[in-house]
Amino acid sequence: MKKLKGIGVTFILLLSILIPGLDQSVSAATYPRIDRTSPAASEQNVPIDTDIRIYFNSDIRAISSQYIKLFEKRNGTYYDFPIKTIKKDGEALFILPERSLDFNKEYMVQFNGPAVDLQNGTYNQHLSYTFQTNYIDFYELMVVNEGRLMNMLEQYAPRQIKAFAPKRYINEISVIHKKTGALTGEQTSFNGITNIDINTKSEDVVNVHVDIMKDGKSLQKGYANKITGTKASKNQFTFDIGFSNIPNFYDVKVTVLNNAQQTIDSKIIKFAAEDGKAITSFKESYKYKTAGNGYTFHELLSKESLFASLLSESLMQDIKVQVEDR
Amino acid sequence: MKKLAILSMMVGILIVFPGLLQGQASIKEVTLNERTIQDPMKSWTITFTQPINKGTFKKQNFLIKDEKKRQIKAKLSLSKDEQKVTITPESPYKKGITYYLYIKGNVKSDQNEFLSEHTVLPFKMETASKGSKNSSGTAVSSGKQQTSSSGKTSSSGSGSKSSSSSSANSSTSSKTPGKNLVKVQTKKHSHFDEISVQVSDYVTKVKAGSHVFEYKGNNLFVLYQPGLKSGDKITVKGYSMSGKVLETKEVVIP
Repeated sequence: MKKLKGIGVTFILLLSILIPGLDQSVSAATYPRIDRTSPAASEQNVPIDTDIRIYFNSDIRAISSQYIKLFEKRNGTYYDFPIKTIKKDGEALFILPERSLDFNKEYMVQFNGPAVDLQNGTYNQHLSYTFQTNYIDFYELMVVNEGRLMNMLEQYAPRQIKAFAPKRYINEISVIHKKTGALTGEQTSFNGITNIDINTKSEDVVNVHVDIMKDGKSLQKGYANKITGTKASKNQFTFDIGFSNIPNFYDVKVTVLNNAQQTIDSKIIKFAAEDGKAITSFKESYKYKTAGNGYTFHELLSKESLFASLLSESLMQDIKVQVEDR
Repeated sequence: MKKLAILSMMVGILIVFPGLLQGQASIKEVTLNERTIQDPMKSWTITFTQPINKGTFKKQNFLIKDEKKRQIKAKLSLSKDEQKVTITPESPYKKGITYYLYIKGNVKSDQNEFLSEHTVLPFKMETASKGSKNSSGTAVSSGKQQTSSSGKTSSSGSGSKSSSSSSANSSTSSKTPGKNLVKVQTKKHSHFDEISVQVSDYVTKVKAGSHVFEYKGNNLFVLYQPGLKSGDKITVKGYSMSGKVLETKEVVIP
């Protein structure tokens, strides 16, 4: 009886040693599978500068890029989104988009053939999952609803939360304003004339609209004309517009539009004609450190000057917040 | 008879000498209209059209007295261009008491020209806290006066002269307090402070140190500044289109 018990105990011990090993070798040898993806399927607030990572259960040997696709959903239809590179690193597959993703869009990652050769076999399953690049308004988080920020920080670490400054397109605004009246004593008085030049980046910029405002009301407005020919600069556009008989104190609101007539940049400057001068000239140039860049909250908190630059260079309403999955 | 002559001579000398010793004592004293202030630590900046003679930059020439004519302790500072003198009280003004800011005619320009008059500016702390409540609104903290404006005194009767900067002698500028930086407010957010400045038509740029305020339209400039602590003092400057400082105000972060 004792002998039987001893055999039983030895058998159980042997099983407990062998079974984990058996389990591993069986799974590795049987089928290649995906352990996880980043962004995860159905993620909502994926940062626009994300790369796409797919982690397999075995090292990757080779990639067949033609079976790997990335789509962007526009008006209910998925369109190809250009991929720059697909590369491997151990068990991870990296899909790097050609350019930054767009805000508020849905993306779909798709495998439609034997896309990846793993050490444990070829991954030849149809794969399709989506994620979204929705954002949270920085202004809402920081000013309107600070409770939301607290909730977010309970869920994500500051390194996972990213703030994106908007791209800026206006390089320079210059105003030349002549008051109504004569330039010299002998001259006949003539109307006031104002010229406004707007220098922008050439990328994405199609139209520039100018509003002359006073007390919040638009006094005169119009689209500025693009200067073409020899005076045009490389990678830059210059637009100009003229007005007559506008007051000596006013706001100039410049709005830059893309080909979809969406506002991509805007700026308000204040003009005050100088006392004792018939003509006042004013030029303001803009240089941005943060425009178009994304910063984690950790970066912003640890570098006060960066945080200050972000806040001073962009309207808070234009800064977008997204979260990175781990 | 001889005695009488000597006595009358001595009386004459006694009458004449104080004037001779004080030099400028005989010049007229001009009292400006009384101002009401809200900031118990309000500093006053006197702007001259010419640099002043440094020898006359002293507490005897720029002083604040209370209604019992007792001089209150105050600090003086002179701007780099030596055209602005700022006087700041060392302790808060008391409500309901009239104070007098004196700019003595003894002040000379660097060309050794005296002011043409003594200037006195009476001012009083606002008794009711209505004003401070209004100014704090949603922003500035609970009725305490955070903003310390640098008012500018004017020498009476010469206001228009000095504003045109054409007077030859040193004289005070005619700018009134708060004329250009109309309203400065601060608001605390969890990760930064918001400083908003309502300006006059003439101010086209507002800066706090190297930080440039964002223009929001309608004469409103805003700066969002992280890293400020309660009690920090921020100097806000309003600039004209030509880059001239039109007014400076100090804001204390609540």
